[in-house]
Amino acid sequence: MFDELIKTIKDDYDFKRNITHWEIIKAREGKYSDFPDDVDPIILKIYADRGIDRLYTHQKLCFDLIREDRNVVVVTPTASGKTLCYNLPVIDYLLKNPEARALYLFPTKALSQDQQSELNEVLLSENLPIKTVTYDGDTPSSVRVSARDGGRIIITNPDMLHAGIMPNHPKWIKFLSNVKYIVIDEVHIYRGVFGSHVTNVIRRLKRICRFYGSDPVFICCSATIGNPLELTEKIIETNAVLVDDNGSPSGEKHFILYNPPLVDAVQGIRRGVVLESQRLALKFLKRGVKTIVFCRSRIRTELIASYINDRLANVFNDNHRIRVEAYRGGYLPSERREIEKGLRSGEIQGVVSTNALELGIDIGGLDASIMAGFPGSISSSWQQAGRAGRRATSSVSILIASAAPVDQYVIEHPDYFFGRNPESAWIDPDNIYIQLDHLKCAAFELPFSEDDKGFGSQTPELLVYLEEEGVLRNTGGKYYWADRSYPAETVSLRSATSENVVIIDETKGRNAVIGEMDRPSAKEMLFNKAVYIHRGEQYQVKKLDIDNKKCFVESSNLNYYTDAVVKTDIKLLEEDRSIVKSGVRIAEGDVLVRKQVTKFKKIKYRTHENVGFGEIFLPEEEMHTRAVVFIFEENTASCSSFENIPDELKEHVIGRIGSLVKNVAPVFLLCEGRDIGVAERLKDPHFGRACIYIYDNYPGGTGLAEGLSRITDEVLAAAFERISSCPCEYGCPSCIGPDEEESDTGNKKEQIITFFREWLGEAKASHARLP
Amino acid sequence: MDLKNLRSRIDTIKKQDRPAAVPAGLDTGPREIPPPEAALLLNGWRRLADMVYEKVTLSENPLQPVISDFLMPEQADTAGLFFYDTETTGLGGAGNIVFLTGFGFTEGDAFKTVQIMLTDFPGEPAFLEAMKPYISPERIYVSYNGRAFDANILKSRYALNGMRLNFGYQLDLLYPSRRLWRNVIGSCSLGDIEEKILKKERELDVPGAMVPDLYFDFMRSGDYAAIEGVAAHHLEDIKSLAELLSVFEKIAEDPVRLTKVDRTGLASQLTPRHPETAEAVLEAGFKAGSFKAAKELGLLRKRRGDYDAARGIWENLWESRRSIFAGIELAKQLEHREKDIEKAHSLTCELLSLDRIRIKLVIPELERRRVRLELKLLRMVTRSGCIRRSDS
Repeated sequence: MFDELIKTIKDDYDFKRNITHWEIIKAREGKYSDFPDDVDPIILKIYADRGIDRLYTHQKLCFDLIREDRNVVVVTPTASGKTLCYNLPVIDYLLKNPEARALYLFPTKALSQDQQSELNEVLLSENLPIKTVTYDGDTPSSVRVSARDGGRIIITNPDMLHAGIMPNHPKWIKFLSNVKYIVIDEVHIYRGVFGSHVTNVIRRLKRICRFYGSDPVFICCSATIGNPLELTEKIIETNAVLVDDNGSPSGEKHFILYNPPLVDAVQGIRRGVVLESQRLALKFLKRGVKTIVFCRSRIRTELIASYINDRLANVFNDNHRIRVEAYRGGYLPSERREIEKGLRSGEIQGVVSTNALELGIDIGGLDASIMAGFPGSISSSWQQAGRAGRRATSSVSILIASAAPVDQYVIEHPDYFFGRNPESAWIDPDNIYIQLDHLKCAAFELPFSEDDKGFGSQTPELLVYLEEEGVLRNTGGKYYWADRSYPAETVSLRSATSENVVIIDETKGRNAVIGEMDRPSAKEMLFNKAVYIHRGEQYQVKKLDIDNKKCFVESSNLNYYTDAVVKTDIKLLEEDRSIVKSGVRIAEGDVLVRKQVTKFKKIKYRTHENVGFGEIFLPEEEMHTRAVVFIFEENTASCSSFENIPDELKEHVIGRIGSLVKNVAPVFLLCEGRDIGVAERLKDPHFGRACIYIYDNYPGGTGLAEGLSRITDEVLAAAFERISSCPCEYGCPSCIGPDEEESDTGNKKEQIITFFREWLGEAKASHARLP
Repeated sequence: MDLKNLRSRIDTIKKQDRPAAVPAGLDTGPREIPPPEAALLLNGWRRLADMVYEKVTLSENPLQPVISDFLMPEQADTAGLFFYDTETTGLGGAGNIVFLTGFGFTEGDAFKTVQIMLTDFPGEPAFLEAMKPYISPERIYVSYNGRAFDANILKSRYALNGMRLNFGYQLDLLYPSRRLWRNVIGSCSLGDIEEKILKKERELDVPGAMVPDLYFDFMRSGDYAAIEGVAAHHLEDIKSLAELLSVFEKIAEDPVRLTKVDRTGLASQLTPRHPETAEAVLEAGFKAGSFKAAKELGLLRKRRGDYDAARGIWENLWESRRSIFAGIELAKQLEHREKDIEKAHSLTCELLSLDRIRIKLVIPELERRRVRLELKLLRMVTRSGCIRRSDS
């Protein structure tokens, strides 16, 4: 059935001509190893009963390392028996040491529940005396006391650890003084702001463990990213050993990159991913191929699932028996469990999901995985592709590109996709805003000594600062928490700022909250009279009340959307370092970003005509963050080629380059487009030259600027590639954006290509001349 | 990074959210902190250790030598009772400390209160050590919300300092107070109880919510005036505990004649050890026209199997006020015990026709009852008539 399908695809001319690459990843034999001799026989029996009588080599290696009390990070693909890597050594140790405990951290509640049921299956089958409890916001208070006192394995998430467990650690003495292992699964999720927070949570946890005399071993698992060991060591702030030699077998895998055909070559419009993915999924499902479709938004998930079900609802053949479900965040846990179960049992043949199913939730093996749009990172793509494929049979994964620049870059560069390591993840646990918040929480938990180590280099200064603020008291050589508040309550690990604007729908006297948005974004998207799209519904903003963090909207039916004109003013506060590289001077440092929205454009749907302006009166937004600056300095390649551009075009060119760089950078940085901002200056007051600022869009920075400065060569090359290989004529949304103004200044796209060619060509040449 | 730079970085982002870091007029710059010791000693405190002080107060003892089993499993010697209360810097969690503890107990003819105060963080181990002589598993500890709060936070503080806390039996007066008075006076904080039950008036009282800030103020400034009110308030609280217990004792002497309490609550307090008294209290309530007491009395009798006595109550409530609850109980009894199907049916129909019933959730239940009764009636008719063939 599968080979037949592959053949059908190969023979389908319409499909085949849009394939940009077809990679066949050969089947891999398993590498096995016996269970270690000293594992408790009852554990051997439990696993033997489940059909496991030997280990994969990576599982055995993990076991040995963990027994030596080494911290470990396991990086192997989906369905390679990652869970066993930690469950086996943990259960065995807990069985032999009746006082020992283990803490399991998962990023979501769903994963915690999954792990709980997996552990229950293992532990309860032979009634092992290892009580396992999931401790999160849903845990009833009646269970909490017994969990604290009797739980040997506590499964929780970083948020609960941060706000529920650690501030009350005296209640957890028994657990915390005996905790031997800390398992952090899906460690790659802890990057950017979230990762920087979690690192500080781990700092606090280690501090409390030290206080109670325990020194736990960390067992981490990561999806394939560029720097799993580096990320893990940054999070746990100690050495770890990388285990990435996967011993599990896998079937042959076909990976296809598919670029939907151009509908309008001049404007660069392609056939949409929704229709293309739906068409392909149907083709597979009708042939009995179990298929998962990944989409980038919740709305698309519902849309594609309903299209597929509509097309299958033919009562005259058997197709209507094929069951396809949507799966996304926002469903009830019980609904999710039911879908997962259906997928495992085969009752459900198809599922359309957001990246919610990308993580290690057990849904069994599927045959085909279709990505409706590039998931945002290579590492995510491999995770999603990994959902298709079982140990013995072949599988296929298809990536369908959208018109977005990142998608178009990836689809045109299979070498990039298959040839190199996935993106690296960055965190900056010493971001002062984040660190300051956690220092408060840590001081609440235990007083700080003046020479307290292990909380970042700025600790002494920050403690003094907090003392001046009046929340700490320095006395007898220690800093004590001297405030009535409960600081963990006000610190959220996941949202950018705790000050979100609540969006309230007031249509026909309704008064329902439909969503929320952080304040800076609200100023750009929820200004008075803005058109706001939420879950496919159009609303118009009646009033944005920024002081009270409320925005009132009303259902509307307008034929235009709005786009705020944001004036960004950026000021360099401190330059940390600067070098000449890639034919341009690259500086890195602290910046102050001031954003003000002053007016908005009304843009007609479809034609994208500008049909009017409106004024916006909102206070400016200030942010202190980190940035990388490209300075077109004299005597560099960038400067000389920039000088060749006609003066009247310079502003356009630099502006477009800025957005181009911003658009491709996420490919290399494991972040979202909105995580970075860009500002261009024709003549910067500080540097006195034309320059482009690329800044981290989170107060204080999250390591993105530092990450970017390491890979400027790649990013600039990719930006050049993107624009030069784009088939459009004058620029399109897939590269530098459409050419809006009617002007006779010539073809900007060509101008930019020429500029880039001169710059990077020259840079390369001068680089080659170096000894 | 130097501190000046750091501060400017933090302030840049924070200034828009916050009016000013320091309230005007409050100088936070470095300065000599006067030791609070002189003021403490002048005000009757005695130094126990660095940063730990004790104050003993004698007052009139409101308690009888023996207390009854009204609130506890058995009678107890008043000498074994320790009344206690704590003042803390917050509502719990590892970062909140206890800075003032007081124990009140009988000594000779007097009521003696020992308050122990911690004047700064580093003295905590000595502070906890100083409390130890007053904590023993053999005594009974009387508190107001101590079971859920004070005992827990003390337990945490001892644990954090590597010590064990071995409390005795906890008699928390919050729960019986709520039982007796919540429906009479509303909120039952110790302050409300003092005002409305003990009829105590406090001059210049310190609101509980201000206590942590006053203490931090005292810690920073060393100015005893900041904490003076808190200490006085704390002392009064402990005395009030003893007075409140003696109020309960008076109630226990003759609960039946009491009028200004929630009789249902009083009865539930009495039920485990004095069921007859509890019933008498409810009867008194029933006679005084309390619907709640009557309802409880009916249920109590029903549970005991005394259906006839219960029936009297239901009938009374149904006749006098068309109580839906009583009506349903009566219908149940008519149907299942007395097998008077016709009467049960007409009562059910009458219940369903009441205007008030429209908003009740009992309609489906009543409808089911009506249908079932009608089927029973029908069966009786067919059985007594001669239409159907004999099916015995």
